Amino acid sequence: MGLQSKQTAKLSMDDEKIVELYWERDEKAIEETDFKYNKYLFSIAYNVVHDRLDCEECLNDTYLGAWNAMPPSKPNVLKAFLTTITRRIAIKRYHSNLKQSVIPSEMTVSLSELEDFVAGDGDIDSGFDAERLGRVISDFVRSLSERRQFIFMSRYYVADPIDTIASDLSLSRSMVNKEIAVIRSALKEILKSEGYSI
Amino acid sequence: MKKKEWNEGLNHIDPDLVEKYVEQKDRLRQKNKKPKSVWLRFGAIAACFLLIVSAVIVVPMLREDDSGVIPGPGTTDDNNRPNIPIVNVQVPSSAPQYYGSEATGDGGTAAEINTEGVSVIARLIAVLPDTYTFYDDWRQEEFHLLKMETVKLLKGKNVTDTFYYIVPERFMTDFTIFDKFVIVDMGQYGYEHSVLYNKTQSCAERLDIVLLGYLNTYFYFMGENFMAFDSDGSFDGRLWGANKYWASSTGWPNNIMGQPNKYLNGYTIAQAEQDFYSDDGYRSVNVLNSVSGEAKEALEYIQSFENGLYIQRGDGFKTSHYPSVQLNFRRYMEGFATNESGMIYAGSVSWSKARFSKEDEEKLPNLPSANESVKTALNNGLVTPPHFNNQEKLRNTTSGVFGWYAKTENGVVGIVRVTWCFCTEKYQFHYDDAYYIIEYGSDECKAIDRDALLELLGDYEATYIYTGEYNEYGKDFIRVYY
Repeated sequence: MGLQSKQTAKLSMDDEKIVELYWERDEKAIEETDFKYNKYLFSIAYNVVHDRLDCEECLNDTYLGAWNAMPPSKPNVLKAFLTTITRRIAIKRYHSNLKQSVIPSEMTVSLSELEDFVAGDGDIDSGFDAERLGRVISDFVRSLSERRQFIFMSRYYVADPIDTIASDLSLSRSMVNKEIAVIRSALKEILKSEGYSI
Repeated sequence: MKKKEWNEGLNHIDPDLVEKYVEQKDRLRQKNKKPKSVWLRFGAIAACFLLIVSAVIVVPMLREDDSGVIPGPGTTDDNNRPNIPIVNVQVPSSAPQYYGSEATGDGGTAAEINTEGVSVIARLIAVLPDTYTFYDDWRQEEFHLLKMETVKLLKGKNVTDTFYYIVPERFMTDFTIFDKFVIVDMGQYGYEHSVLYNKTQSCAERLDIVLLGYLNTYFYFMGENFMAFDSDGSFDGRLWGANKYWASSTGWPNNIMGQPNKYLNGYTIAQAEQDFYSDDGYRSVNVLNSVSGEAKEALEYIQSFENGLYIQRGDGFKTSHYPSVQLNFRRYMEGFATNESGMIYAGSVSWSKARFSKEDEEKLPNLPSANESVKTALNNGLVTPPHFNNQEKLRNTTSGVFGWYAKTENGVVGIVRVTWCFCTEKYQFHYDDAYYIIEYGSDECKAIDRDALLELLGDYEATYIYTGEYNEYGKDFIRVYY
């Protein structure tokens, strides 16, 4: 059959080539994306939803989202592009699941750290402007040092565990916790000054 | 601030920050493992090169997209937009109606097919000679239809005895050399008697039996859910080796089927039957069987519509993880959606104001022809976005045509919506749309403003019609990735 050799060791494809495959409407794009980023995207989803089956569905939806988005999109950084899609899908699933029970995920833990000013499981208020909040958070993140930017994104955007962040930055766990406390305090002030109810 | 709001705000942070984070993370991981590879540098250079190439190639294309409205022949509306004369298309009015023997046994047959994957052992009856596309698929991918006979049901209930299976052009091979197929996780495309565009014949064509494909709303064919077996019941690898597309699809089983290798070494149809047999995943059946009172009456009413005129939407049944007792139904007529719908929730039923009568059914406008005529006009540049007037260099990325029947105070009209999508380099999407209506007996598809259309519909459901504000970007500014 000649197919068995295909199952042996395989190298990841360059992102540019994967994006090209999407643009050529070649389903191999999905396969290559999955081969290269499955584990990474799974971890992003798992941090949020903490359920293997949900994660697999999030990943499938991510691939579908990527397939539908490219074209027209041509991301500069494919991994970031996929991260964003996975996070959106996982967060949607998270809040949906949250209606039924508490989700024992890292996202729940990271949100609990912010309970001074982020609390309540209800739906979004009608007057809420997500884009404005997005701009406020973006400006805040830019005002941080490189290291704190990384910690903020790790902890609150992709909900990485403290240990993972400490390992990435070669810091102690307590040092990461201290940094997070500083970030949290500054964030609270910014949100307060921007008129968000605390 | 609520958790949902916080997360939604985070969803809107600047994409540059996400890119920076991902790059930081990769850099740190590399640093913690080994020295930076030269390939990363090469990648950066390649990315720069791609950017330059994009600037050289794409920017002139963007300019080309700024072309204005090309005046068309015939009458115009008050805003000088051309109305579109109808060119009649061939739509068989007496297509043979075929149903599986179990189809009438339980309400919501199409619903079950639509909402959970169906797995079967099947035999090929025929390969239809023509190629087809969906009307509302902007990619306009060509596909063929395999007419299949259900030999044995492995997962799902009430599957029709015969069905069409979608195979994209590039996956076409000689399917007649195989004895049987195991097809896993199929879903229904559209609804019973879908109207497709027959590209070979250049006309609309209504299908006579249910149309199935890989379980997904979108065109997402992956060959690995389709396995061939020879007359001895052994796995026949010639299908997966038929061409590079089939071959590349076999990597996917890692994700959905476990171990791909076993399918290549002495795998049999008997094993496949065991692997893919499932008696669960059909919670909708239980829901349907357990209802009573007005909910039961509603289901019986829906069931009485032969040929799937009512179908259940996927909402609430998307996955087996999310049980829902809410059943949403929409009525389809002559292959097109309508603004008639029903919803069953917790034993109670609510119907839309729009309810099509027998008289309405006999006086349906020629929507298939209108749909096709608008599509042709769009392809010829006679239809352009009415609101989008932004001077930024945005790419017109997609445009699609979608038609449906709507009941109004003055009878039934056919509505055809044209949708455009524009995209910035930052993946910011902007949309615009235009609407056309056709009345019973009319040979012209009239351009109509959205507001006038909403006024025409009055209290009747404005299904599929955008009701927000328009601006220079077309519809409301939308900043999403997909």
